[in-house]
Amino acid sequence: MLEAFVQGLAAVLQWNAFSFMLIGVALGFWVGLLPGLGGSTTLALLLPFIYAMQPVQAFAFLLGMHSVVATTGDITSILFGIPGEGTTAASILDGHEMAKKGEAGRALGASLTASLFGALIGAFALALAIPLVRPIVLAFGSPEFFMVSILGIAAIASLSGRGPRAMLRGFLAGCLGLMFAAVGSDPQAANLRYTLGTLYLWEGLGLVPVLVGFFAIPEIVDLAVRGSAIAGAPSGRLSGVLQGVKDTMHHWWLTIRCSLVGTYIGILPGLGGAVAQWLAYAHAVQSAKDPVDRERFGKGDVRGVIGPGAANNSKEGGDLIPTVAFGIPGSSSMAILLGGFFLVGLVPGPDMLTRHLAVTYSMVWTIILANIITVGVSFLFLNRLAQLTVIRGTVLIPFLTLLIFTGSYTNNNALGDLVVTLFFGLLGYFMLRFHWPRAPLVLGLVLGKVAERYLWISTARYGLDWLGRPIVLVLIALTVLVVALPFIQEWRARDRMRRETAHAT
Amino acid sequence: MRRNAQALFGLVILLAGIAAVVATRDWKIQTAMYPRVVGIPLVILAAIEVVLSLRGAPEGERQAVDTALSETLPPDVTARRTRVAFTWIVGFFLAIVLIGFPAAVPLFMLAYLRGQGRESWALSLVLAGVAWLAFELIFDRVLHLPFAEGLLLQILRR
Amino acid sequence: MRAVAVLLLLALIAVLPAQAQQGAPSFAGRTVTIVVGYPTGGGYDRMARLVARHLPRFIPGNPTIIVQNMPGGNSIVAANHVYNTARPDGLTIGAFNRNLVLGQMVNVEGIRFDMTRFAWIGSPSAEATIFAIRSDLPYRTVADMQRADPPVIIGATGPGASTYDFPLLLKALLKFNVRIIPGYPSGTDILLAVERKEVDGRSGSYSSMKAAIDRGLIRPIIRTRASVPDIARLPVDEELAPNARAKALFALRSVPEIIGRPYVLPPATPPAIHQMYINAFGQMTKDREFLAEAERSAFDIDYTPGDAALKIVREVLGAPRDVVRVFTQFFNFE
Repeated sequence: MLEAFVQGLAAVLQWNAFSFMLIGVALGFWVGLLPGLGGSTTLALLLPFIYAMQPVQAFAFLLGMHSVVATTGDITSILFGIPGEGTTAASILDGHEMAKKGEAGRALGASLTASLFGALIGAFALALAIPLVRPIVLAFGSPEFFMVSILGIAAIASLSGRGPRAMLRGFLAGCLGLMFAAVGSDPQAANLRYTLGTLYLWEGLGLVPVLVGFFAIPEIVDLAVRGSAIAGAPSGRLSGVLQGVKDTMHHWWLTIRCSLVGTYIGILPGLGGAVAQWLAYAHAVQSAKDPVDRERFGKGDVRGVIGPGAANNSKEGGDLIPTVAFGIPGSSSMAILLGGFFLVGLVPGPDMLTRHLAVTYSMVWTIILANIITVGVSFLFLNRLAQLTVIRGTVLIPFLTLLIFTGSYTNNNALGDLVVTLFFGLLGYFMLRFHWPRAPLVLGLVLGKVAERYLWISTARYGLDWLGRPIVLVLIALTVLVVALPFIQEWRARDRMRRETAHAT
Repeated sequence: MRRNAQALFGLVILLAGIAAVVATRDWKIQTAMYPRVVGIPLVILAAIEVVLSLRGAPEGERQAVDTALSETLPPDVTARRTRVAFTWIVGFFLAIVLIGFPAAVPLFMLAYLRGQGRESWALSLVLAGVAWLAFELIFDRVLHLPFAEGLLLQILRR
Repeated sequence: MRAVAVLLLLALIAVLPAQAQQGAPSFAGRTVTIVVGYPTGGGYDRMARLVARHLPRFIPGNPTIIVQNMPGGNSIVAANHVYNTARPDGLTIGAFNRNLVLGQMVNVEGIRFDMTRFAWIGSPSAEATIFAIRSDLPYRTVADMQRADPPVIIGATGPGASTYDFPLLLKALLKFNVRIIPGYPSGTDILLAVERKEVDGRSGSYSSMKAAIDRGLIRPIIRTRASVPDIARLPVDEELAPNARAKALFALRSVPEIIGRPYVLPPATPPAIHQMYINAFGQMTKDREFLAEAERSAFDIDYTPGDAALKIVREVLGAPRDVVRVFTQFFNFE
């Protein structure tokens, strides 16, 4: 096995495989930066080019591209508040807030370092999981999927904020998101719900048009209102890249935990990067020491950048696991990559873990090398990139608006995409204005359908017996803990305060 | 004033929630179950929010885990600039509908830079040109996105 | 001044179609667009991109062919576009969901086209549907499936998909003892559920299950009329139908599969251009290079030319009312 591990590295380092990887990385760099233009679409466009390639070259090319889009996607999210990828929206909350405070460099430094660690941890998880991969994936049936989605939805509790009113609004926003997930044909009877008589809504709300409008439009409006550059504060600390790197090192344990969250979500087919980043963000918030510490999130806390940054890259390794081991893709990107396997004459499945082990390990190495290169190159330009935040708003705003509209349009290539973006732009603006947290809505939107789907399947298949499955029980306990945590923290903080005042008197 | 706006927003959500739940009344149970399970708590929570807003209940720490809009400028300036910004964004959308995406891009860029940004003609033209060129290259030449013809052209042809 | 403009405009309108109608069409320097009704990455998209790479060699003037994705409404959006908006000049080709014809048959809302009026190029491949169960189950034949006890659990996506309506028909008409559990997001998710023994089998297109059959996870039991060499020896649903109506129902469900990847031109495309595309598809689907790439993409090439495809479409739309009525109980296009 170790032999195959080394062989995999040697194969990627051969000059032709390595140059294909570099081309892939260069493409992925730009695909990540451009909002809307996503990794999976690009994979589909690149597929025809691999007919003439050897397996290792083909995967170096495809994965080289795909494994770096989340890395550079974070850059767009942080600098402009526009999600560069559907999987990097969570970085906006704190990352862009830091950019506004003139700490773009620090945010970027932290995010890139976290991305790198995330990618490495995800890749190593893939490498280590190879002997165990079948039992890990097979232990998760429909009931477990359902409970994972409930656990994710429960994270709303910690993403809402402090005090009963914030909680009320958090759960309200969560319900709203769950309701938006109902749009389109239902998973059981395939009847249409809330399509307003349009064909456009048959497939439900596209995540990218929603996220782009929801997060970026309020930012643009706010930028116009302030009438300044993005970085409103004096730009003395504009660089601070090294500080960001140090931040990530300082929060190394959080980085590892969020990377593992991302890897694990990646392994589970059908959840994907859109979920991983938010759960990682929620986990970062949960790890706050007390309610006061928790309040720093959303105001430019570097931990809110590190968590999603690590998770959306580490999910790449996890994502590959069911694809490689079973030929069962965990996401739309992996479904396309699966086509790539056949094109180069490989059959994913048990063979990949024995006969073609070296090819499998070459994928691990591709993820590692591609991310090291991307992060390295990005660091060279970071200070330049951070300078973008001092361009005057009036010049930047039309470009950002253009990016929002084109990014949204690439989802379905339809004007409906733009309408959805405008609608969620308005909704996002009013939610911000009246202090409704937006993250719970997104969690509801991405998890609602998963929850609905697997609850029906679990009940149809097992009746109520599924409630007794061991992993389900563990997940139920975790859910209770996640919901209770903010209340416990609040209570303990109050208790401590009372004791302190008692001491003082 | 602010309190009323806040209650109004809650009310809109409440009404939308009620409409969504009512819409499920003739649906098969497989289709209707999920929106009902989600919609009913949505309606209840929204109703509480509206009542609390109307009564002007204290917001507590008012801490949502989210960013906040800037509140440094006088409210009337903020309101005016917000309206202007939304008008530009919606205007861009209308331009796309009316004259098609490819033509709307340089027009919007130029109009905003010159009209709103008060940039010089030279800079406005150059930046609009750059935006248009990048747009054409990436979305038309490389990605071959289908861009619907503008509504005006369609009417004209008829 | 305005009169001049109107005249110019009229002249322009008069010239445009005239250009397209001139004698033998040459497409040198032109760009042909294939409008696909699904997003990038799926089977319809991959086939279209394969065609886009090879077809130019067989068209006079060797135009560039590009693929545009216009998803929405199970490709109704794209079909509406090609039918109503695209010009019939041979520069736009539509590639749609094979079940659109069934959608038209049951009058799905939003359809603004008549499938019989497209200029049909035909379909480069058929998509055979099979029903398969886990290999470690003791059932091998149709008779075994009828006697199975306890019922065999079949995972499905949902109504309107072959993973769902085919087992439903098998249960209703051939008395297969199956329990169908819908709701899975995709066919591959069902295969994973088979692997972890949550369900016992699934149906769907042969191409999507071939890999799982080859590695011994599942075993095919029965197929529909459209076929490929690998599975030609499986029993066919229609031949086992107990009565004429059951046979008609099976046929109605599976006939569109013969035109598995429909390619059409807008209505009123000049016959010369239409025929030129039929010839080009005929040549392409015999071309060695094309066939080799198609095989690596897991497509079984079997060209059904335009007139044959149109005949099938007419056959579906001409089904007796009472058969259609029963069929709608099993089928949901949305």
